[in-house]
Amino acid sequence: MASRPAIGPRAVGLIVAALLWLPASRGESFEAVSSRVSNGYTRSRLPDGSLQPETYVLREGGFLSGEIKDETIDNMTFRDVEQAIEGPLANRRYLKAADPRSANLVIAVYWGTSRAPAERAPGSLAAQKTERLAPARWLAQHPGDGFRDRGPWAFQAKGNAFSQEMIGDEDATLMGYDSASDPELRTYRYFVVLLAYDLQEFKKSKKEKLLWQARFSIGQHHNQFDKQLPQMALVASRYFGQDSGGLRHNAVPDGSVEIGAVKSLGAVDLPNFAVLDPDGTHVAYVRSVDSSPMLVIVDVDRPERMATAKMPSPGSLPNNVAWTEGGLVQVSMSSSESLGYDVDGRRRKIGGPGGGSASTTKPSANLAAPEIANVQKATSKKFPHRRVAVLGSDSQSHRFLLSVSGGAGSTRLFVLDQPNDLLFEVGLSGSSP
Amino acid sequence: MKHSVAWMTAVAFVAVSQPALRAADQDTEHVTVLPPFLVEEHEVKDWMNHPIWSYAQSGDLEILSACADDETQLFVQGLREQQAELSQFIPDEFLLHTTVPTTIILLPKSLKQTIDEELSRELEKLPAAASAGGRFQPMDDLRLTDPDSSYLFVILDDAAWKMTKRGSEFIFSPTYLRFLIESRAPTLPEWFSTGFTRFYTSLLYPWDRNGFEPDPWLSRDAASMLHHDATAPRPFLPMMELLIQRAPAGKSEEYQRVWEAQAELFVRWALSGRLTDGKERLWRFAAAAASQPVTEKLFQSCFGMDFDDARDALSDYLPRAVWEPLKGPMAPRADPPPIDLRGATPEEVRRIKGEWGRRVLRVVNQYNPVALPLYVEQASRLLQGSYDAGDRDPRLLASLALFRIDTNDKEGARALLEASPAAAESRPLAELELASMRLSDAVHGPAEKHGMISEAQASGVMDCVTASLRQQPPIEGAYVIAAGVSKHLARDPTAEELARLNEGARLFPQNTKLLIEAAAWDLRTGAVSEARRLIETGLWNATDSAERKKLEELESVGPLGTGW
Repeated sequence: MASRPAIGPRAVGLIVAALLWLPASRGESFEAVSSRVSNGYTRSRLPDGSLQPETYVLREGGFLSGEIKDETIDNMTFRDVEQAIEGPLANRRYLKAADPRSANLVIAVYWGTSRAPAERAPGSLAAQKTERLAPARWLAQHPGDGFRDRGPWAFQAKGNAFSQEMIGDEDATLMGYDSASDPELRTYRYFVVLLAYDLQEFKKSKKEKLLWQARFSIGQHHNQFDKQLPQMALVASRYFGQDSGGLRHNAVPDGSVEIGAVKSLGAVDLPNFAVLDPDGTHVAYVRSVDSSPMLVIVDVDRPERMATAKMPSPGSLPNNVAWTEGGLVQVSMSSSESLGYDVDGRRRKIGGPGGGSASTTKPSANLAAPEIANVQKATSKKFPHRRVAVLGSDSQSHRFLLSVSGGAGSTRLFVLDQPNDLLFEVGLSGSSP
Repeated sequence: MKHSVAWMTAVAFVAVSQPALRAADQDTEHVTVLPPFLVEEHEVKDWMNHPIWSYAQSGDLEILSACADDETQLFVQGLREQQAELSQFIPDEFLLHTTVPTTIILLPKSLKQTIDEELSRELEKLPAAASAGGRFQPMDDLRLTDPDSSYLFVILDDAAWKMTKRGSEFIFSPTYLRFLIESRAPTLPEWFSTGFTRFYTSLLYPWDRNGFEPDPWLSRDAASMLHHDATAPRPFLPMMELLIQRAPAGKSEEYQRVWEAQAELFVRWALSGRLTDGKERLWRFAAAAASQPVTEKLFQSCFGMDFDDARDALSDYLPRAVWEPLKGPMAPRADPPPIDLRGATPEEVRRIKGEWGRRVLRVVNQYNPVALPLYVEQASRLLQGSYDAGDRDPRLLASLALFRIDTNDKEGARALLEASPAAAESRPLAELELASMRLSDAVHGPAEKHGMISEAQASGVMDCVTASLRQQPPIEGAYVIAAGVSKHLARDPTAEELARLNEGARLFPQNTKLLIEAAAWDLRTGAVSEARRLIETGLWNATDSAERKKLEELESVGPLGTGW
């Protein structure tokens, strides 16, 4: 793989582990994203298949703070938000217009903190602090464009409605959720909403024509909005200007990670963290949950027997996972400690009675090249737009563990049951925005 | 109905175990038991309950009922309400519609002592009337279908029905709904009929709960695990393996189970409101997939995402689908007006029973041919007997003509149909049988040189074809006959005739012969793009190597080699 760093697997494993499980004050794993298109909006493509660029001008929609002081968001200005989302917009070939009057789109940006159900007491209304756009400021910033007559006030009205709605039962809808009873909404969430309107249509007919909208949010707990926003926007940008097909959950890399680095490392080092047992019935892998490493053991044929185990070693990170001959999962930690688990996720002593010692799995490196090529050929037809890596197989070479990346969000793990030509999606691991 | 009248019930079972034939018992009640397709003639004693038939024709339904009037009304009301419900979440054009009314023979379970033991045992085996969950799922008990119309035999558990007013718990049986979907032309892909039917059966009840139960997925345990942890493992097919025309063949049972469950999930996802205009996208895609190759490009044009993104979206939706009930939309509750029930005339009873008896012949011939003469005799007694008694209802004449054709008396059938145009008009199938006979005559006695038929001969055939196509549903045979006429005329088809052939090829793309005929005429007349479309569709569908070769030959001739 071209992006493979010139260092040994163990060292790379450590780096990945470090990136995934850095300080516990950061890094919720999953962001909720929902996007929709409307009024027949579609992206045109250039002859080479790439997206036809569209220009935009950003417009401040409004900021809604929570009741609790949070400097990571309270101190953010529209300019800060603008800077954080420009790159992700450009990823989808939305380019900032040199001349705001000729832009294709005007994108209204709202951001803030949702409120948990406990906050929805009537008395809390007055506590809401909403920063609203000053029309004069808009006019000053965008002299002479078609919104002079009514634009700011039109959007201001939206901003007011928006802030009012945020304290009602519409929070869920505004953040792309179907229902306010969704368990994720029981806690505070940072959110951003982008509403993209057809600017030229507005100039022509004075009618607002909403073309697309994107709503993304992440739990406030353990996250800092100013640090997470660029990654949040980057992960969500995959859906800008298209329909997400409902609410999607995507892993967000930790705030301190360079996005580019995660892109390449995520694909390289998954093998060390996901393994298929020699019988082909179980997969063990490590994922990050609430910024802590979690061992997941999946029974491919009996999903109800999925087991998880938290890694109990603060300051020490997993850097390898393997199956022992005795059918235990052995997790090697950066502290040189080895942890053993049975398939139900219970701690077991490695080398103890029935514990076995060495891994008998066939890592991908030991699979014959033609075998790998055959599996990759078969699976690339199943995932025409994804990168598929064969991570290993069972001892009979009937089942193969695959990592599939290249889509939005997390890399997905699959087991291909070749005799039945059946794929099992067995988990999410790593991040590849 | 008179007391002590001899009455007949004919019941066809799709899967019946007993091949034995016990004909003409000598006991006093003259019971004739003919499994597996039971026809019973039963002399009912005066003191016994006996069926008193009532009759109604209302819209697309014809009812012959031995149930009490209020039960019959409740049944029809439930049926109508369910039709209205269905129309809320599936386009009308996706369901079979017939101009000829669907005939329902409604029999109360309480009268089962009037039918023989063999039949009673078979009825007990029927799962429909008291299915799991207590919903009443009729319309699939016993169904005999011709290309232009259906006859259904429904057993009503009248005791329970009356007590619980189960009209409000009426739900079409899954196989009946599947039949309605799969009989539509062009045939919708099987992932759709499977997925939609499964989704439909999750309809919540009573209806004012307004929605659908959560997705049952593969099992309760699997669903529960997904609810608990959204990353729980699941077997999941790529979209290109899901969106195939026919259910997967040659795959494991597990694979097929996944395919069916995922088909339901796909339909549910599209209808869930999570996708902008998801419903319209689904309809557009399903309709397109019925008549053209399913490609990722087609999918993307409908859903705005590629196969991989759709697979991911679907997989991500699954954990929510297994716990979240889906909201309507449901039809506004409206009480359909009662139907106009009245006592059935002896002619109506004989006509309907006779037509049922005629339809049964096909099944008897397939499963128990040795019993066929008895069934033929009974149907003849009803249909010919009614005719001999002076009944000239066009529907009776059409049934009698079709019966004669089924029993190889084509001349007798033709005499009836030629003498009574109204008879042919009442049944598109009869109209097409007449067309077929006329075409056969024309081909064997061509009026033009070189074995070609004349315009007069052609129009004699095409008048019938056109008349049949004025009614619903379009029948494949009509287009086959039209293609036969074009083949034997000494000229190219007119634009109108060619349009009809192309229409037939579009509606029945599985009929590769028809498709080849139409494409060949298209090429000859310079309609290259239409020809290309048909050939592409044909190559997509064709399984027969000779037909495939013909299509490839067509593909390589004329302007096709360069112009497309």
